[in-house]
Amino acid sequence: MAAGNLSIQYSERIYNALLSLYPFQFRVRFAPEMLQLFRDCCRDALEKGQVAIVVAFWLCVTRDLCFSVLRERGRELMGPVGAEHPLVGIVDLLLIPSMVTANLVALGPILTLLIRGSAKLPLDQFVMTSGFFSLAIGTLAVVASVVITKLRPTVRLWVKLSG
Amino acid sequence: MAKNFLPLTPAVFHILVTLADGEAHGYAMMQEVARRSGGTVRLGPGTLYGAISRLLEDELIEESEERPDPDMDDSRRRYYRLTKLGGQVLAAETERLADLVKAARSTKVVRKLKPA
Repeated sequence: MAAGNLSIQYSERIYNALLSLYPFQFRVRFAPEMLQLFRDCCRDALEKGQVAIVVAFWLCVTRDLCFSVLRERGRELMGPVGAEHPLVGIVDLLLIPSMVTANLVALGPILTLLIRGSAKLPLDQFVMTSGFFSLAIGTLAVVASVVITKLRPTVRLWVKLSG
Repeated sequence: MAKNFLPLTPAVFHILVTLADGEAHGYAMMQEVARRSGGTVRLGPGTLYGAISRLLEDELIEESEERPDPDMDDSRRRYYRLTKLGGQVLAAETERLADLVKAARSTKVVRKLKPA
């Protein structure tokens, strides 16, 4: 019986970790109930007392998990674009590298041309100066986008509370 | 209005049929669906709560505040019940399936055959 309880506990922990694959909103709403349901089903399978039944149960749960995670993720992706939409998360993620790349490609040389003039500067100095500007502005951009990304949930919460 | 939701998936249809008899929580629904379908439809937690999520969104079911048996109840469980619209959709789907069965039975092949 103790071994049974222990295996239920371990199974629950694994299943609880796997629930994090579902979209955030779905998880917040249904994860406690799903875990309770899993616990009940797990107990049922163990009461039958055969290892094969427990293994079959886990296979069914894994299959169900794979299909339902894909379905819920798809549903989330096809849903209306809001603050919680995964596309917003992707944009957040791409914001920093895209800003850095844009800086390195364009802003450094442009600033060098504006400040030092085009004709007088030798090529090696031009590259060094534009590299310096790129690095400086790139660092500022990274800091700014990190601050924006970190502040976004706070602003959302503030808007929600004040609204 | 109810016909806009048709056809229902087997999982959703079975859930609505189960809730037509009264409110139930997830585990009870899962057991009842397996029993009614003779074990052919087995809903996993993900499929069941995915379907419940859509049904709640479409307002075909709602969460119930009442607890049928307070002594036996686990406070973590949530109970669901059919809404008026859910009942109408279930009736419409049942009618649609009955028409389909009727049409199939009227064919020569089905009349001659008997289930194995």
